[in-house]
Amino acid sequence: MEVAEAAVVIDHDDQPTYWHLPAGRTAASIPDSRDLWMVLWNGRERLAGVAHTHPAGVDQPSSIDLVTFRACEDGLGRRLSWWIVTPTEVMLCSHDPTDPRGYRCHPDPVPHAWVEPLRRHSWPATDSSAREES
Amino acid sequence: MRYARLNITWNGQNGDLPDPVSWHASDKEILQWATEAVRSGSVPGITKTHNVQLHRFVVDRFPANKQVPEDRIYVRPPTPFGAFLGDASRGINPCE
Repeated sequence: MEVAEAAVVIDHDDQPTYWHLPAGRTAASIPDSRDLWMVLWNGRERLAGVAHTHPAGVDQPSSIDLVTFRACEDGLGRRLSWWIVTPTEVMLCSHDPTDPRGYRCHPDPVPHAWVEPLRRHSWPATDSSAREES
Repeated sequence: MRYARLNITWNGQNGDLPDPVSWHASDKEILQWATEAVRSGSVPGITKTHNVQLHRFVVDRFPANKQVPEDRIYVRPPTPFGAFLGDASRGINPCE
């Protein structure tokens, strides 16, 4: 399995509703996708947010991430939660007009059940984690 | 001249521009027309909004087919993540 960014759509019950694993994703990017937008739009009444991985461990959003956060919220007409999952951290980003980027991110202490499955979609299990699962 | 129906999504609302637009218009032109239409309140289904920001949105084009017998153009938010810089023609420019 190649290392590649992955994303998942999360509903108000903290349940994953759509695993976004499109062709063309790389270790540093997930391409634009009309399919993902339609998932967000069609599920907007129960939509809580979107999580995506940063396999290299960067725990802050890229400029592209920030454009996506803002544009999707503009399209939906409401704010969302945006999680960034690294190999060691889960960061929760949300709109904050006092932040120069418009979004502030902080460690999310909630033990979301979808975090480890999302990581497994993004990079191969390590030997130790593979042993734990077997 | 080939024309298309233009659909816009903004602020949790969605609507078609009453008048068709040129299928061959550039993405930049489409986004500008969509912005002006929302600002002027001329899109049924979308409340007039002065500070509409569509310049980072994406333009999708779908030719007519058996199910939808007219050309359709959709303006929607972009959804890329990561360091992917995309295609400037898709309206995604992090430097803006």
